[in-house]
Parts: sequence; C-alpha cells; structure tokens
Amino acid sequence: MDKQDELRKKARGLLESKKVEQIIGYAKGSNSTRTTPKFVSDKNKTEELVWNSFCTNNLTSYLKGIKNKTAIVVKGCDSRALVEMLKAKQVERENLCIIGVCCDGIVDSGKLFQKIKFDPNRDEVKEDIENLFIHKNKISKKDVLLDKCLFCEYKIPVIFDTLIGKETKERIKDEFLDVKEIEKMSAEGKKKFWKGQFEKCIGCFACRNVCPICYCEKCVLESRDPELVSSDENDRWLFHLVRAYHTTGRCVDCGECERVCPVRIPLRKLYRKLQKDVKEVFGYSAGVDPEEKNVLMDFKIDEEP
Amino acid sequence: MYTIDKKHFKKFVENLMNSYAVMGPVKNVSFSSFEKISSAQDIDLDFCNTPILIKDLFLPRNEVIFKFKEKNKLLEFEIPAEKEKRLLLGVRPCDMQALLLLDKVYSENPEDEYFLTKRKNTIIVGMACLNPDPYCFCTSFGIGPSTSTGFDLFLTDIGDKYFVEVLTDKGKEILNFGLFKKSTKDDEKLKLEISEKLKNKITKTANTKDIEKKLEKMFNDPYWSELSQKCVSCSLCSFLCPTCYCFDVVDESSLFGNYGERIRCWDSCQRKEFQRMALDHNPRAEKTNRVKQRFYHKFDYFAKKYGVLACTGCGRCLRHCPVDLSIPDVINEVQKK
Repeated sequence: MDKQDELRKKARGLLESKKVEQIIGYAKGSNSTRTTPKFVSDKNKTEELVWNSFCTNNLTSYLKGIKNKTAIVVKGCDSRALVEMLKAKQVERENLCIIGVCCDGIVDSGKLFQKIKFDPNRDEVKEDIENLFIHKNKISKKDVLLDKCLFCEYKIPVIFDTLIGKETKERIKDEFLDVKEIEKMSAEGKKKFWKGQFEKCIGCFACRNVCPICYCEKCVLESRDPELVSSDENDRWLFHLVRAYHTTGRCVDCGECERVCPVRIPLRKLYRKLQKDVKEVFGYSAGVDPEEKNVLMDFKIDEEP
Repeated sequence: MYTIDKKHFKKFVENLMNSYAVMGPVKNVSFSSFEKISSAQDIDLDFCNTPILIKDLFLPRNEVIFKFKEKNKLLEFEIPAEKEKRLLLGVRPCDMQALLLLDKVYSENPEDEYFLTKRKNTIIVGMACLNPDPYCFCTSFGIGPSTSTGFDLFLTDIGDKYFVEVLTDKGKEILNFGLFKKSTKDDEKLKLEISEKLKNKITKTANTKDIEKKLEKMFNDPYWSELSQKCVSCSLCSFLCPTCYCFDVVDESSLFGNYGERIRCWDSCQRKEFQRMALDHNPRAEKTNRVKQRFYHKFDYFAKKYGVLACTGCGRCLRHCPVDLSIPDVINEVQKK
C-alpha cells in the first residue's frame, strides 16, 4: 500500500471511530505541481486527501487556537514546529492526533519548470520513490528538491501518534553551508547583500502569517500606535531583524517564510544563522524534544556568564 | 500601423530617454521589476509578470500626501510636486487593463489628483506577452496576451521586428523619434497569427459569464466558510493584485510631533484590522467574511458599479498564494452551484 492509500485509510478510520472531528491534510491543488491544505470532517471525503512530492505546506500553523479534536498530517520539519507550538501551549496535546508521514523530500516546482517544459494545467505528474514522470520524461527527484530538503536530518517526524511509510533515505547532516557562505563575507558585504534583499520587501507580512511560530495575537511590527515600524524603507530591516530575533531558539527551519515570499528574500539564510549560533553556543536545536525547555527561556544556576 | 527592426530597438529606447524618464522591466537577482533605466541595455523584455506591480508607479505603496512642520506655533504644509514625464516600456496587457480599472475608481468625484497627475504624465508602451505561464488566466476576462486596449503604443514581437500599433495621440508623438516603417500586409497577417497563437498558450481558465448574478444568490452559502478554512489571512493576494486599490492614511511624525508626513499606504481587506471601527466593532472579524469580501468585491460589487469585473487574470495571487487558493477554480466552483 502506498503512503497515500495508507493515509486515506487511517483518516477514514479516525473519523469513523469519532476519535477526531476533522483531519487537516492535503488535497489536489490548482495544477499538477500543487497541493492545497484540506480540512476533512466527512468520512466519505477522505478520498480527497493526497500525499505526493508537492505537499509543501506546513499545516501546523492552522492549529493555533484550535479547540476541537483534530488529526493533522505532518512531515518531519512540520513536526518540529508542532513541538514548539506544544511547548508554548498554543495547542492542547490531547486535542491532537498527529499523523506523521515519512518524507522523502518535497519538490520545488520552480526548479522542476526549469528542468522540463510542460503545462501543469494539462499534463499529469506521476511519481515513484526516486523519480517524477511527466509525458515520457523521467526526472530524478533529488535534482528538483526544495533547498531545505537537501539537508534534512528529520525525515521521520519527531512526534507522532501514527506513522505512515518507512524511512527510505539516509539522513543528511546539515552543515549550514549556506550560512557559512554569508559568514565569509565582510561586514560591508553582508550589509550590501541584506540591504539589497530587504529593499525588495513589499511589507505583505506573508512570511509572518504562514509561520507556525508567529502566534502573537497582536504583532508589534504592525503596531500603528505607537508606530514602531514606519513605512520607511529602512525600517524593513527592523521588521525582518526583530522577527529573526523573536523566533530565535524556536524557529525550526520549516522554510515556509522563504517559500511564500513573493519577492524571494532568502529568509532562511537569516533565520538559519541564528539557528546555527544557538546550536554552537547552547548545543540546542529547536523542535526536537517536547520535554526540553526552550533554550532562551531557561538558565542554570551555575551557568557561566 | 508600423514596424520597427529589432536592431533599431536600442536606438529607439535611447531616443526616448532624451525626453522621458524611461522605466522598463529590469532583471534583478531573482525577478524582473519596472525601474527607471539608465541605459537601453538595462531592459530585459523576457519576463512573465513582475511581483512588483506597475500600480506602484501610480499608487505607490507608501505615498506622501503632504509634509508638515511646526514653525512659530503654526503648522506649515508642503505638498510634494510630481512633474516628471515618464514613459513605461514593455507593460503587459493584464497590467494595463488593471490600470484602466483604477482609472475608473480614481476619476470618480472627488478626483484623486495624486493618481491622475501621475497617470497624465506617463506614456505607456505595451508589449505582447510571449511567454505566459501556467498561472495566467487573462483570456477568461475577454482579453489576452496581445490585447492593446489602453496603451499609447503596443508592440508585438513578429520575429526580427516589432509590429507597432499606435493607439493614442501620445503614442503618435513617440513615432516622431523615427526608426519606424509602415507595416506591410504580410506583417499584419503575421501579427494576427501570433496573437491567436499566444491566446492558445493560456490554459488556465475561469468561466466568468454572469458570475455576479451567481454570487448574488449565494452570499450565505456554506461554501465560503469551507473555502476560507485554508486561508492564512496573509493578504499577499491583495498586495500583489494590480486591481486592488484600498489604502490607509497615517501620520508618521517625529517624536514630539513637530514635523512629519501624512502618508497613504496600501491596505488589504484580508487583514483583520482593516474594518475595525470605533468601539472595536468589526463586521469582518471572521476570516470567512474577509475571504468572501475578496470575491464579492471583485466579481460582484465592482461589476455592478462599473460594469466590468475587477480582475484581469494576471495570475499573481494564484502563483504566489501560500495555500493555493485559486481565483479561477473558485469561480468555476461557484458556477457549479
């Protein structure tokens, strides 16, 4: 049985037994390279759920403040965000049934379009574990994976109630190569690089709204009274840097912010720099152990300053 | 109608630059956007459409309405003057159509001087879209990749030359810069063939026929709450929409309030704060109502007021939507109801 069938069966079972009231998963999207988040509460509609290499969204951001019993489909990276949400009491564990899916990596449709010309509105994309098939062409998935999937240490979700699939690929240690590249730049070079990036920002707040870790009810960065971040272009720095510091020690690199940015600011590079620092200084990675206290909210009596 | 050899195009742009501030598609690291060019070589016409809208050049994201300064206990005001003569080059038909919709809104009484001045001072040269992408659905709105309505001049790539349509007097002025030849019958035939071919490149479609009548009947349909579940209220769709025109007005002043600016900045009905009124009353506090508003404004209210749908199928909202909430698919679903 493939993962999709297994998922549908599981989902149906959960709804039939009334263990949960709804399932948050993925459904077919607007074209063959897309999926869309799907809320299923009717057991006869579980056939609409899909699992494929285009299940990009981190669905955990839908759990903010959810009150009814919910089953949610998570990949490894998503599950780490969920751990952070549970730690911050943004969602009650007893309300959740976590359907973990072993993930072989998610395909970046942008990279795919560069590799092969096709019309996703008309042409189907089929796949097996290693490859995608479009027309009669075979494309190796590993050539078109999302950047975040190239170095993934969490192919199996860190937290789940039920697991779908088996781990099929080796873990690839994340060496923070992208961050190291920026670290090599001079201070002036870094400033120039980020200035160029932040200048593009159109202030749409999409990065913040898709973030499972951004759960403040009122965001200071949107405040007009007092006006903390003005419309001035230079204040875009402030927006991104405040967000970076605020998510430090909690950001799990699910990559949603970078994925949704319409002007392609490489936000992961920024957040990953702080992840790297936290790892080096405290030996801590966010979203791994639900019992572990958040590193920046904890201290040891005999800690060296 | 006329043609211009591609090898003369650079010269043409250079000539224009002597008289106008020429703005055209410039390729940055990751995407193209319309920017003021300093050399004809900056222009790169090979793009689909830009995440930064040309709307920004007429209704800037943040626009200073006036500056104020306290002097001898009185306030002094200064209204920024806008006199620059601009020429936009390489604008896509979907974006032009959207600008025509904004014209309707901002020419209403009272006229919006800020918008209209910029509009009057700008000549727009369009270009047929050779590479529409899978998210484009302009043909669903009675237009296509080579619709020339609204432009002053419109170019279509027909091989080694551009076919040039002159549509206004302003457009005629540019012809004075020379380098143009009268078009032949063959050119015209080729142009028509290419236009037809381009239309067929658009494969995403929405059935927009009488959509406003359909919507009228389903305001309270549970479909909307189901649809809106997946929306994350990021408001990206309205920030990328060439036809969205709502703005907010704020004062940004110094710490002691003795000098500052009054600015208007884009706002979005997808944000919870958008409709918040005095005493915290908010008719669209629920996400469902906000998502519904997006569709009703574009395909019902606007259609009834101005006789045209407020969408041109540029596909930006769909292309960039984090949750794949697709306007064409929603329209088709609504039609099935």
